[in-house]
Amino acid sequence: MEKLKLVGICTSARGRLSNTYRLLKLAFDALSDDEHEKEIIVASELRLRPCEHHYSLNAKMCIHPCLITVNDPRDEMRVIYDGILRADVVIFSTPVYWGNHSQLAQLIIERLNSLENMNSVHHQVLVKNKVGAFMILGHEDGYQHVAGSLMNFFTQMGLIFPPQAYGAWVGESDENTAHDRDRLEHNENIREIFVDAARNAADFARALRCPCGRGFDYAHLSKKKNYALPKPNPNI
Amino acid sequence: MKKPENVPANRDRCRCPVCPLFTGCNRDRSEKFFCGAGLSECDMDSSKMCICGTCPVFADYDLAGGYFCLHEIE
Repeated sequence: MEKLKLVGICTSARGRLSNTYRLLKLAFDALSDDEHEKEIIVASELRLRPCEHHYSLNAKMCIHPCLITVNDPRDEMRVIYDGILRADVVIFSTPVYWGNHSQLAQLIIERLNSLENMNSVHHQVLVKNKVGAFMILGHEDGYQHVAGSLMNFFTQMGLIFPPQAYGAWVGESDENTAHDRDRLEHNENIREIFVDAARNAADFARALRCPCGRGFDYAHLSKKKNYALPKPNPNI
Repeated sequence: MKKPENVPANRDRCRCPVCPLFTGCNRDRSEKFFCGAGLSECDMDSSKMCICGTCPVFADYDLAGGYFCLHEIE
């Protein structure tokens, strides 16, 4: 059987030094190479311009590829667009900062609006038959709020979610996340949370791929913007 | 996506001259209405905010995207 393609997107500003990356890698390493093609995109290593919200001038200006991607050869958001579009499973990982996902995660979400918009405004379903999951790591609390925020966007973008679609862990009220490294890497109970999140998403994707031996193919045309789009504002 | 017709009725409604990308170079060359007339011959700064989507011609021709001074509608 063809390998499942998993892409993980690490959105910690500390990149490969972060616990967020370490957990994502640890979870990916636990999945067999025979059945899975695995790729981790470290967002902090990419040059990513913030969304310029052309959408807010006119939703029809927001297209895929994004106008920034088209105009600026130095912008590397294409790595993330292409990673998602070729994946069967997308695992988005973020630290919790002040109760929210990282600023890098938010930047990426806003840039990914172009994929969501291709369906809801332009009626082209680019993201389909792809399973999503999240890995959320932080201190004190906030992971349920982050999971809700991420789920809100990524379901609209078109990902499909298995039951229990995220793994999360928050440490005690201690700002020094270096203290967590040993626990995260060696505490079997904590490790299992994240390995299970990746395995659950992969198993779900595999189940969708093979109902009764047939390929899964489901596209939902979004009605989210199923109202008259606003007329252009000549005063802008 | 249909290219707007390069006719006075469309050119007169064109908002390119009030676009942040529009420069003296465009004015000197009497360039505008890029979605219908074709690309600019000037250096256009794509880091500035394109306003194609605010133009009535954009709506009338059901255009998508923007920066038509840099990207021609085929």
